[in-house]
Amino acid sequence: MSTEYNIEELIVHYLQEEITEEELRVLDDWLQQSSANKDFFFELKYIYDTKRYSEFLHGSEASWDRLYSLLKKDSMSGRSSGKRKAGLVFLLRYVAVAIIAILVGIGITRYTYEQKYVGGKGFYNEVIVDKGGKANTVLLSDGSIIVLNSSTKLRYPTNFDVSERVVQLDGEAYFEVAADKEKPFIVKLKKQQIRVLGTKFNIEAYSQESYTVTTLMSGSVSVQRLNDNGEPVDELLLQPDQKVIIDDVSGVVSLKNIDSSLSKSWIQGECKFKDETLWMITRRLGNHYGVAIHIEDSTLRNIRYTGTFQFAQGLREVLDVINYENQLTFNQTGDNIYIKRKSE
Amino acid sequence: MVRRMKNQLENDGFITRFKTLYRENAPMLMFYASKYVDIVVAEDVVHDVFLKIWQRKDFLLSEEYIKNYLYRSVRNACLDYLKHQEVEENYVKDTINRLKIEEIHRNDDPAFLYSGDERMKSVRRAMDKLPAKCREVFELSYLEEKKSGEIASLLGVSIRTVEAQLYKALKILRGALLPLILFFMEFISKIFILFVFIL
Repeated sequence: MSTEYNIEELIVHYLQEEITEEELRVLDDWLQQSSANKDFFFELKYIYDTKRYSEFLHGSEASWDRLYSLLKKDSMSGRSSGKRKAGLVFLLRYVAVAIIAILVGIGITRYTYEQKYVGGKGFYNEVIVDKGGKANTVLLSDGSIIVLNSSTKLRYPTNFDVSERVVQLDGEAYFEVAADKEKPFIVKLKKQQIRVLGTKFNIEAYSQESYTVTTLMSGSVSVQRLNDNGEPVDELLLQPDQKVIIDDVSGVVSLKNIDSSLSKSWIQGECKFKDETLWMITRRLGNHYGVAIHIEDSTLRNIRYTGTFQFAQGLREVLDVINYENQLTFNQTGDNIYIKRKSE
Repeated sequence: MVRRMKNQLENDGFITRFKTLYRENAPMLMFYASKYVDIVVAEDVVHDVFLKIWQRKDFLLSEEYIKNYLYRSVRNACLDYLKHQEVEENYVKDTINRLKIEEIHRNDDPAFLYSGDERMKSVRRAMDKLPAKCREVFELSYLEEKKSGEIASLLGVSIRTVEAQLYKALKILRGALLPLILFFMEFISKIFILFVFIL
């Protein structure tokens, strides 16, 4: 510790952006000496930095104008223009306007919009997001918002029924349902239906899987199991920050209290999980990337992980991170990936 | 009966809602970013994030979710920017960079975006209570952005004195505002990639 410099001066010099190299070396040294020093330094800096606050207090119109021209430029550039792809907005209008669905997405690998007629039941619309596609938002005219994950299909009628609002889901979606006590919102899955009044929740229900996961963020939903005639046979009321996993094959129902924000991290392109088994994690990865991941060794399947991935990292990198202790080997044939324990 | 709208800006409802979101959050986000990157880059960073939100129509989602997302995105963009600056071979720049990155991890709380006004009021109140000489010097630096040299000649004292007063002021303010500061800093880094291997 140099006797020439006193720390007070150095800190002030640093804050005023007038510090010399020699001074900085001494200051840095002092900071590295203890976390109390660091705490103190950063606290002072925090206060000093607040002086800039007033500069930004009245956001300038000029700043908005600059952003606005970015938006204009972006919406006019065609699909072929490299990184910034245009977001196409499809606006659907019907004579008996019961639903207006606005579907937007960017950087989608492929999405399909179809209109079908199901005998006697009126028209319905189907939105399909392909595997590896990015989150897509559907806005319904009742104000409900549904964000679809990749490998997901959503069907909704052209006109909502008088008494209820019904949609069908195969895949994963995050819902923010507008409250309407007169018209419960129902999400139909293969073997269940989720009944809501007005609330935020996430459903993971890929039809190729035998399990469904429903996570409630706020509000309340009732998860009802259906018999082969599509009639509800029992129901489970979910509270906020609860998640239920139902295995359609074995009939096992597992109810957990969790941090519900983990379940919708995929909207931001993240896969977040806490204490989840490798088996569950690889199911989600498999569904997202459109591959089948097989784990033969049942002891491997039950290893639990906590962590976050960015889906954009790509499957290979994600698997490498899971394998950070280098215990696993991966073999890929076509769309199948086999995970085995590395032989000693 | 599908009508394709190439220029989505024609939808007034969207733009209004988006602009409101921008007005309510961009200033704080730019203030936050300007702590770590220069002011022009700060605006670019924030605008990039808002552009993405516009493209994906995320602004239609709930406020609580969006604010969190905005904060995370700006924070990560700043981190990326700083990390890419690292290969400079200039001790001062590299060290300041490193300290900024550390600072981002410490001040990690989206609640930062809220109650900026209250925070400022608290700082002002605490400033009002500073001892006279101390306050005079501090205000010249804090409010009028004067450097130590200027303040020294203005008040007819030595630079040493000015610096000592500034330091004293900061120390006093820190004492007065400590509960406020700690509320916004997290010393336990959030779990971004943390693997717990539990058999």
